[in-house]
Amino acid sequence: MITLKGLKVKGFRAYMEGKEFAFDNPVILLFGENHRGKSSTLNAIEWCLFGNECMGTRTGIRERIDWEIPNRNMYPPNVSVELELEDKATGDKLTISRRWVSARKDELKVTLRDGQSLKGQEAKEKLAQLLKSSFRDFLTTVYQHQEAIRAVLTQEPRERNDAIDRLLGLSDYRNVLTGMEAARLSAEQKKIGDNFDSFTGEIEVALRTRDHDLKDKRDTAGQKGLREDQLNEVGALKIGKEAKGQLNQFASEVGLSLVDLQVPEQWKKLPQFQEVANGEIKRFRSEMPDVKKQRDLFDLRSKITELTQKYKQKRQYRDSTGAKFEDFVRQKGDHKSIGDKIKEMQNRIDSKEKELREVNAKAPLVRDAIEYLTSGIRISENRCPVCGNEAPDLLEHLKREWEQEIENQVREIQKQIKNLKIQLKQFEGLDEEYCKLKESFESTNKEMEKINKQIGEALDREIADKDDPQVLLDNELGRIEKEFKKLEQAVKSKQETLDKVSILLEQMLLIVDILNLEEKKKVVEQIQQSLEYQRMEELRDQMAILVNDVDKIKGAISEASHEEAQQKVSSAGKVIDNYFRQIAHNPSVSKIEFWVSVDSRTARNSYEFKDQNGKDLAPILSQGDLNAMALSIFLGMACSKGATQPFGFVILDDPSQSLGSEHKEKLVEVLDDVVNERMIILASMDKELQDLALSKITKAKTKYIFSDWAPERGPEVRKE
Amino acid sequence: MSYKEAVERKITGEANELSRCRELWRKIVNAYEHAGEDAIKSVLIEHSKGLTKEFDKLLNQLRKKL
Repeated sequence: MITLKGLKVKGFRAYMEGKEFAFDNPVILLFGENHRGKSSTLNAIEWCLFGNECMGTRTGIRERIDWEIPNRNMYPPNVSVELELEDKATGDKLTISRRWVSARKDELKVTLRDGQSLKGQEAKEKLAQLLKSSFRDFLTTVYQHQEAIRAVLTQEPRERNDAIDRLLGLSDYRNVLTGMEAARLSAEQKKIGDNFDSFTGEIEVALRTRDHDLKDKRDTAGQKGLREDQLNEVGALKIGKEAKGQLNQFASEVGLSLVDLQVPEQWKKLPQFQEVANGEIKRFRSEMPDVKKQRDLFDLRSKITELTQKYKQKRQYRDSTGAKFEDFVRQKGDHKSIGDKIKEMQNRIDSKEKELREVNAKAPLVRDAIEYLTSGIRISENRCPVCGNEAPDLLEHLKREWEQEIENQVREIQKQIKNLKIQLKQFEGLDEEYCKLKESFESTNKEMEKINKQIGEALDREIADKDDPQVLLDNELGRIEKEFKKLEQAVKSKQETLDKVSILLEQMLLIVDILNLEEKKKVVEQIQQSLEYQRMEELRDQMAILVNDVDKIKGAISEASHEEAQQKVSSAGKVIDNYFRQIAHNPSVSKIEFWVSVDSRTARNSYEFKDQNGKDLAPILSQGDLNAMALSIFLGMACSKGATQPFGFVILDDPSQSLGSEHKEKLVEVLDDVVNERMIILASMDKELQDLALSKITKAKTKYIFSDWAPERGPEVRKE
Repeated sequence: MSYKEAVERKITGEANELSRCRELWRKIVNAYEHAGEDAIKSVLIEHSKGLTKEFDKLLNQLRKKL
């Protein structure tokens, strides 16, 4: 059994300067408040023994995931831990030292009693030989970690079972099971199985569809006049040849040339043949001479119809314009008679204007004389101011003459002139209207000449004045219609010949469709006989074997884990029961039985604690009881006679966190029992537990007080 | 006896099955001891992926034919 004799720590986690500890008594007490370096001291022991094994997720300890070894305030890092060990059985002493190099690397040195130093692989082998156990065993039976206590304290059965498995050193089983389950192979197997079944279903559906389509096509072939014995490659090729022969004959009959159309030797190429043949049929339909004639006749008929309409319109217009012109001349006269009237009006206007001018020549004289006589110049009103002769009542006479003769005369003449001018304008308007009507009439005549010329060109003859173009056009239309009827009959018969060829080609293609469907059906039928399909079956079976193997291994894990759990529980059960009753000191529990079974759903160990009456204790256990339970399991495992671990010491890190005063006292009593078997290294910040440990543990003690911690020097530790 | 041996002893079956399961178990243990639980998942997935990949490839090929 290996015991600790001394520890030297430098630069490790909370440590800066080098510190030394002597484990020179059966009980080593590390007392101090939180964050003073106690846990770092205990961790240093672990790290020196197990190196990087005590770090990371595999430890199952949450706070170890991103664990840092070197003190953050030390640069460059200078980390080393040295442990002095003694094998009690042989009295052999040796020193183990570990120096940190990097996050992934450290250097191990083992110094033997005779001063011989082992390094590298030799040192590792020597240490493994000495420890004979893993870090997991160490955690289970030597180092009681707070994480393990906390997990047991949970009321959730799955987590508690997991924690107890870990306390019993069975976490590897659990971890491996978890890793295997995470792969979800059953889901993958189901996926492959489902895909395979679904594909088999698809094949069946495809076969049914092909059969259905084939039946449809065969029925259609029957309806189209094909016999069953024609529904094969020979039949299709024969029909192709027949279609070609008919096309050839048609082409020679109508005087057209057929492209180089070859009937293929394989049915698969028949669709291309059909495409070319159809192209030729289309061309023949539009290029055969009768159709060409029909087209020409159609154009001529359109032209004649158009000319007929045009002729009718023009003629109607010409007749109405001529009638208008004749009516005008009859009613208003022709250009000459209107011109004569205009001249006459002009002469009469000239004569009236002359008369007006004469009257106007006398008017200023009379007006001036009246003005003179009324101007106030002292003259005799009865004497003429011009000639000086006596003229009785001259002014009155002049005024009367002005009013009655000159003024009336001028007004009358002006009125007459005005009337004459109006008449003149009317005649001029008539003349203008005459000219327009004449011009329009002449223009319609020209239009008629033009249309007659066009008709002549269309009918290929000259249209004389004595001809009636309307009748000529009607005759031509009649002739065209007769021609049309004749051609229609001829074209219809030729189109029918081509229709027959088209039907042959359709029949040929229908057989090709049937052959295609038969081939596709064959492909589907062959899939299930294919190597690929057989290989898929093999792969599906291999996946089933893999899942079966994995299930078998899981079963073996579960069985082995259960067996080991049972062994451990039975060898440590009595001690655990004894410790639990002692620490918990629960008056209603006189006996605790520890039961382990396999949870059929999870294949993991399931633990039950029963009282003296076989009743489940879990529902009535307090947090303190559960803490006591965790400590009992740990201490029971550490001290049971069946334990094979080589360590002669146990490490307890703050074990009293959920314990009441009575529980603490009882724990110390148990520790006083444990110390008979193992050296105890106890770290605590709990003053009550400290006092109890000092006063109740009956073996000699070494006490280290962790009084302070500073970043530049690390923990301040004094030995008492 | 370590958990490796304990489990290996519990694995039963006829000769072929036994040797296959034991081989797989050793692979699982090896992965676990080197890189933890996640590595087991990777080993098994890799194992099954080889099968599913080939299966899916063949399935696609045959589906095209269909």
